[in-house]
Amino acid sequence: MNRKSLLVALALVLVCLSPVWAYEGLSVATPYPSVTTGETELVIFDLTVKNYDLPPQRIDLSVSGIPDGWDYEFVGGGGLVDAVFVEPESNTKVQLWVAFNGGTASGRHEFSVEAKGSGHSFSLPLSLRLQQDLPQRLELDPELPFIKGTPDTDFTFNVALRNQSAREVLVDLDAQAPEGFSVQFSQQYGGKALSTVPLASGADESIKVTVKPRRDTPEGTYPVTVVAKSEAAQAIANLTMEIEGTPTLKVSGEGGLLSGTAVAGKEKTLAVEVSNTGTADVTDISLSAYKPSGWQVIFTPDTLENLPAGETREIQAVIQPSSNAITGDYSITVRANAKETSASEQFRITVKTSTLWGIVAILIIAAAGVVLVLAVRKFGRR
Amino acid sequence: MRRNDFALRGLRVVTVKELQDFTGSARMVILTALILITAASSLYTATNTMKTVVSEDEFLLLSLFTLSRNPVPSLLSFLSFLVPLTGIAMGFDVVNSEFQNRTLKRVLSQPIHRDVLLFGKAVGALGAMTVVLLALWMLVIGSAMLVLGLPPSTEQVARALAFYGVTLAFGMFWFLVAMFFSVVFRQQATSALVSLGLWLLLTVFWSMIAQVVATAVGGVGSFQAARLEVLLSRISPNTLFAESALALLSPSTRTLGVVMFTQLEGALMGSPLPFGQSLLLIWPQLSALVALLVLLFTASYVVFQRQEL
Amino acid sequence: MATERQSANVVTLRNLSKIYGNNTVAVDSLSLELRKGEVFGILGPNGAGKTTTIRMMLGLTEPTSGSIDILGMDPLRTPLEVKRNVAYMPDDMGFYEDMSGYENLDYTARFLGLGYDERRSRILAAVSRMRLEHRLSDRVRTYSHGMKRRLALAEVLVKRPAIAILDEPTQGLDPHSTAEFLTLIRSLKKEEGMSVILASHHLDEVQSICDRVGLFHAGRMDLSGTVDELATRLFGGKMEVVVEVGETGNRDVAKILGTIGGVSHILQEKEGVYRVTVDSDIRPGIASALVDSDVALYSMDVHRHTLDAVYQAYYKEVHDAA
Ligand SMILES: Nc1ncnc2c1ncn2[C@@H]1O[C@H](COP(=O)(O)OP(=O)(O)OP(=O)(O)O)[C@@H](O)[C@H]1O
Ligand SMILES: [Mg+2]
Repeated sequence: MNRKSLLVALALVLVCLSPVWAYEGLSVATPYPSVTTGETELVIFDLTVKNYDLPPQRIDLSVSGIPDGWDYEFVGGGGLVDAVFVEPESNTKVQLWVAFNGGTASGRHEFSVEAKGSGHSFSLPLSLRLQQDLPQRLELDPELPFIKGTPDTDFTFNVALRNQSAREVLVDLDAQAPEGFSVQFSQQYGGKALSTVPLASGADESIKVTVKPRRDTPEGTYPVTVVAKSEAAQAIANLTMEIEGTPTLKVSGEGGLLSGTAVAGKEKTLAVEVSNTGTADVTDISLSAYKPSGWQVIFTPDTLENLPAGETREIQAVIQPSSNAITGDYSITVRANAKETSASEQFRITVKTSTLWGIVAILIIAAAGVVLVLAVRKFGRR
Repeated sequence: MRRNDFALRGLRVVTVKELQDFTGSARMVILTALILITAASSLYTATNTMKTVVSEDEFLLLSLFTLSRNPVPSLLSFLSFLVPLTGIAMGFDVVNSEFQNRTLKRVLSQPIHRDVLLFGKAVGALGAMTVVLLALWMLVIGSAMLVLGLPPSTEQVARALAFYGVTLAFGMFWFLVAMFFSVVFRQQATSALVSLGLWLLLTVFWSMIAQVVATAVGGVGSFQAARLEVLLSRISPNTLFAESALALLSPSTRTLGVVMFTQLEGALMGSPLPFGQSLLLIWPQLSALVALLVLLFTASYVVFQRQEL
Repeated sequence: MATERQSANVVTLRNLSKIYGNNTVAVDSLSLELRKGEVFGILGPNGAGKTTTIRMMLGLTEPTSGSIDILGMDPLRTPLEVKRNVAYMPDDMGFYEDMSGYENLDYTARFLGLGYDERRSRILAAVSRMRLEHRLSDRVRTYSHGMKRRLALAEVLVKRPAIAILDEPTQGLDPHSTAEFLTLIRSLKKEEGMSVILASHHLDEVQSICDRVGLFHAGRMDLSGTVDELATRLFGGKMEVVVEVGETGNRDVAKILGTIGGVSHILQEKEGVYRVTVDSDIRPGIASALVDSDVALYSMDVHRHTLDAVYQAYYKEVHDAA
């Protein structure tokens, strides 16, 4: 307790102890005559108009000294009013709504409410201090702003979002990431996907940011900016993803075809494509085949020193089915082994019967036909 | 001025008459009825089996030929039994009846060559058999459509048609065998008995003989013996027919005869061969059958042409 | 001169031989000529080679050697052309028993390349000639043997051939039908100029219609010609006069007869009966010679040698020679 408050208490005691000084006239009172407010707001003053020992009368209300461009209205009984009627020793409640627009300079503006009865009047000075909005504050705090990974992994950042303002706010979450990256926000627990988070004043929330990079993203560091935005505040967290390259080997037939035909015992050349669909080079590739016994599969070339990312090499596979392979489908597996990785693919080889024997068979029939023709020649003319 | 004589002059006349004889004879009517009735019964059981076994069969039409349920054998086994009999029934008296009726000299004193008669008889028999088997084939296709409710795939129809051709060749083989004996023997009873005896030998006993000979030569259970047995059994046209039918009607058949394990390594089983490959598979069988037909006819031809009337 | 005669021949066989597979010599270098419009009878015992010769003419069996010329064609080279112009009725013919007579005829007629109407009219004409029209639509199975023969003859008529070769055509025909058949052959010969070769064992029939006959023996035809010619060859003359005389005393009647010109052979049959073979009817000469010699002439009969007699004599001769 300081001295000032002691004085106020003393004054209050003095007022209460002086009923002798009976006041006669009008009064317009409001509990908070001086208000500080932000822009684009409406300020409402609750006014009480009181008649002290005067005959009942109508009291006209007006405002003077209000800055240009401000609007005001007296509101009472659910409608706009200009005057109130007050019985002796009683009061009437009325509100003064003051609306101001953007053009108003900040600072202190003084005006007053004038109440005018028959013979008496009263002036209530009001002051409005106009200032910038109370600063809302949001805070975004990444736990680990830097993560390493491969393009086929998810990058998960944990970010703490804090509301450091006096009010509850609705926070929109947004992110800027390189093209083709997908970003998803979710609750730390429960995993529900979010895009808007309501935060009570002073509360915080742990948010999971999951970034999926494009599969073919080349090696490098990629920034992701997470932006949390409320009505009046925003916070930014800069995250960094370091993406490492991966080699991915793929073996396939020419044009994706995984089948071919061959004749038993006869060589057949099949084009095999070895491609690196990854983001890092593959080195020391050697090709081999798992095949039925009696079969021969020779690759030219059968080794590749280096296959840069995104490139495809065609390899000729000379396949010779066993000479006593039976007609129909066989499967052989082509395998590419590299230092970093390996890949394999099954090929369906349809063994066809050589038409050579068909021709021989036709020759046999033809020979039989010749025998018949000779017989007709020899014995026919009868 | 007469036109130059055509070597096959009168062939049409003979063929038409023989066709009428074959199709009109009581013997053929009975045999055809027998074939159609047995076919209908096995088709009936086959379609019933098919309805109870709810499986997506890619080759429904073809399985109509092979499906059987005790006690009714499959259509295929009926055919492999009845078609040779039909051929023999048609052929065993085709030439010697002309001798016995003494019609040959009268006919051959008309302006035709002697061989035209033999050609006409063979062509007439071929025609008659074509008609009978075509009726059967249509019956099968019809049943397939009844069961399926839609026409079968071209692949199946092609296979069924090829099977029809093979059956025809098989029937013609037995016709020509019987015709050969009817040229050789003047007595119809003799030619009939000899034909039936040969049929019995090749149908019933040949497989046993092949087995006995193969084991005697190659030893019990040896690979050589198995190979030899297959080789020997293929001398019988019944084997040729059975193997051709198997490859045509079960498209997943990839090989006929003895298979080594090494040949099956890496093989994707159960996948059907395309029609052309199945055909290539049985090409040796088919051509052997056709060559046999030609040679048999030639044998009959030579004997007949050299015969004194 | 030789070519002239050949051109008049419709059939010429030269040195024709046939040896069957079992080494039976059926025909042995046989030569035969048939002139246009002639009816030629082939005679001979069973197995003489008649049927074999006929078959060779049609190309139904191949000759071992020799040549055949039929209407200027060789049946081995142009068999169809020969068969088109030559009708053949086999000795053992048969029909398709389950077909009607009409169908049988129609079947063989088809080979001639005739149209339906032509076939029908020819068949009906032929069949009415053979008096078979009432049985035409019956199965041949129901025909009698003779009816089948008639059907076979009808088939020959349907063909309207230049040459008909008939192997024992009247076998099994009743006398009436036989007579009709003989009339038919005569009329065919006269009206259509058809040449006929006929093998038969009925000598009287053959004699009644054949212009010439050939006698077969063991595959050869050593004797052929008209019956009179054959009789002349065998008996020295074509007719015989049987002379019956009374008491001759010591006169040698045979000697008296032998002095008469034209007498070639005298045979004393019994006492008072002589058979005199002569070339022509010389009865007046015989009568006057006998009367001049005071021989009582009781009777004198003349008769031609029958084919039967020729046949008997020939085969007796052959038999005796063997
Ligand atoms: N197909 C044949 N094979 C072997 N020999 C045969 C054959 N046909 C006939 N012959 C023989 O040829 C000879 C002549 O027979 P062919 O039939 O020509 O006699 P033919 O004069 O017609 O007798 P027929 O008066 O009995 O009819 C006979 O010795 C007969 O045995
Ligand atoms: Mg005869």
